[in-house]
Amino acid sequence: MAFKFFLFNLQCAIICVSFIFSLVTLIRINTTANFKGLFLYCLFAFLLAILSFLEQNFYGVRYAAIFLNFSLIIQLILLGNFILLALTSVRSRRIFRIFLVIFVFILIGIIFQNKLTSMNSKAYSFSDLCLIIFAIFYYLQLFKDPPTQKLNNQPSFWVITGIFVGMGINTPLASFVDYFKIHNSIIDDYFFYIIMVNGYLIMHFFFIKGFICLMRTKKT
Amino acid sequence: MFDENQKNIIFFVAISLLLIIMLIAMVASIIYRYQNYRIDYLSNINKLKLNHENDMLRSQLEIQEQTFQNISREIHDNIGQKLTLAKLQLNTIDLSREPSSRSMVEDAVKIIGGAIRDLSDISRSMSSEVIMNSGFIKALEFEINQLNKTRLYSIILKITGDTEFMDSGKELLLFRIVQEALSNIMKHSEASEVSVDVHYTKADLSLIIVDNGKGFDSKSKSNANGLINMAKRAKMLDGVFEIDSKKGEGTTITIKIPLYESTKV
Repeated sequence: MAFKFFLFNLQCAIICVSFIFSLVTLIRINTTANFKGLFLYCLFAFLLAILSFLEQNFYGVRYAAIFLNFSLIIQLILLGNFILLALTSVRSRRIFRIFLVIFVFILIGIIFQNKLTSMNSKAYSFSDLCLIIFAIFYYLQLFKDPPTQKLNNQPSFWVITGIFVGMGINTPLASFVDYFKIHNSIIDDYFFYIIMVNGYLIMHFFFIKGFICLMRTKKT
Repeated sequence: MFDENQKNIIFFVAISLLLIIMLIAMVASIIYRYQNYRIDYLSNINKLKLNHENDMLRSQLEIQEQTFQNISREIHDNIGQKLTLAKLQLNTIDLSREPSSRSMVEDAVKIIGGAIRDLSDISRSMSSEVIMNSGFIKALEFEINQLNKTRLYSIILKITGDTEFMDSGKELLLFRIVQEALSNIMKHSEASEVSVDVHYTKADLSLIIVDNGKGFDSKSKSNANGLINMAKRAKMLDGVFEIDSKKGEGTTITIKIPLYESTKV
């Protein structure tokens, strides 16, 4: 239990730091639309983290699952939009915009098909998989465009890598939630949520790296 | 040792760790491939730039040679012919009636004759036909003889090794480099002695031009037009151009070019 609390609180702390970095970047630098969208996601994650922190530490877990399930829609829209705006080809953006809208509606359908008060592993798997597909297309596009900049200096690369790694960790875990719930009595929604925070932790670490890179790039 | 639950948890955690490692390895491989892609791209851009620069230089040199040819032809056809006509007319004057004017007319004939010879030499020097017909060494010997005739300089030409004939275009370029170097020595160096060493090996040709002039700071003058032109011409020949000079210590110009494609310097 102590370990679960530690991980949970660590995630909240990292999300707070990520939000602070996004706020500082937004204030100091004239950021592009995709980073403004990322700020909104960090703000949303921060508010959700505070809510979950309060519920977990003071009120017990009651409504976290409902918020977490619906948060997937916000996550898919904001992070999907970030990847979309990072694509340079106008044609690719148009196609992906259409796919993003379709995926959002499918996700809404999946969320409402199951109980809202428990963790919906299908919704998690689907949402994370969509983001992974978008990230892969971004990587493929990197090799089509002329490589005028060093990859280390591209903030978008770090953010999308964070999405790719974070969602890449969570997707298979989310897929196995129902199996483990049936076969293992001590594994519950909360346990899986705690394990999946690792994916979000890593994702927000990469976000912080992306914000630092953005500030450095704008300075030079 | 572990019960079923614990085994499942351990298995779960191990899978998670493996996933993390795999994903990070994937990202690292993407970064590595992208760096290689960028290096290849920049290398291609540089090659294109270099080819473009060479094409531009080649065009400039062609225009320059054409101009030299035109001037050479004009000197020979127009000015040379007119001076020859003037000399002939002077020769037809009957000097028996005015013997006092004889020496003046004879002097005029000598001067015009000298001017015709000088113009003819300039015309030959500018024309690329000398090199095309006689080769680099003959052209160099002729050029050095012309300069030695002025008695302002003592230029010694030394040729070692077995002479190899190159493509006439390359010999012309090399000749122009030497011409430019000698022209700079005449204009700027205040030298009295110059040595031109041409050394042939099986693989390359080395040209060393040394003068005892006033020298200059070669690092500060490295972007002078004449030096840049010589360096560019040497580069077009896939060769190396080096200049070593210090104030008060004369100047040494070294040019090394490969004789064949496979022996690039």
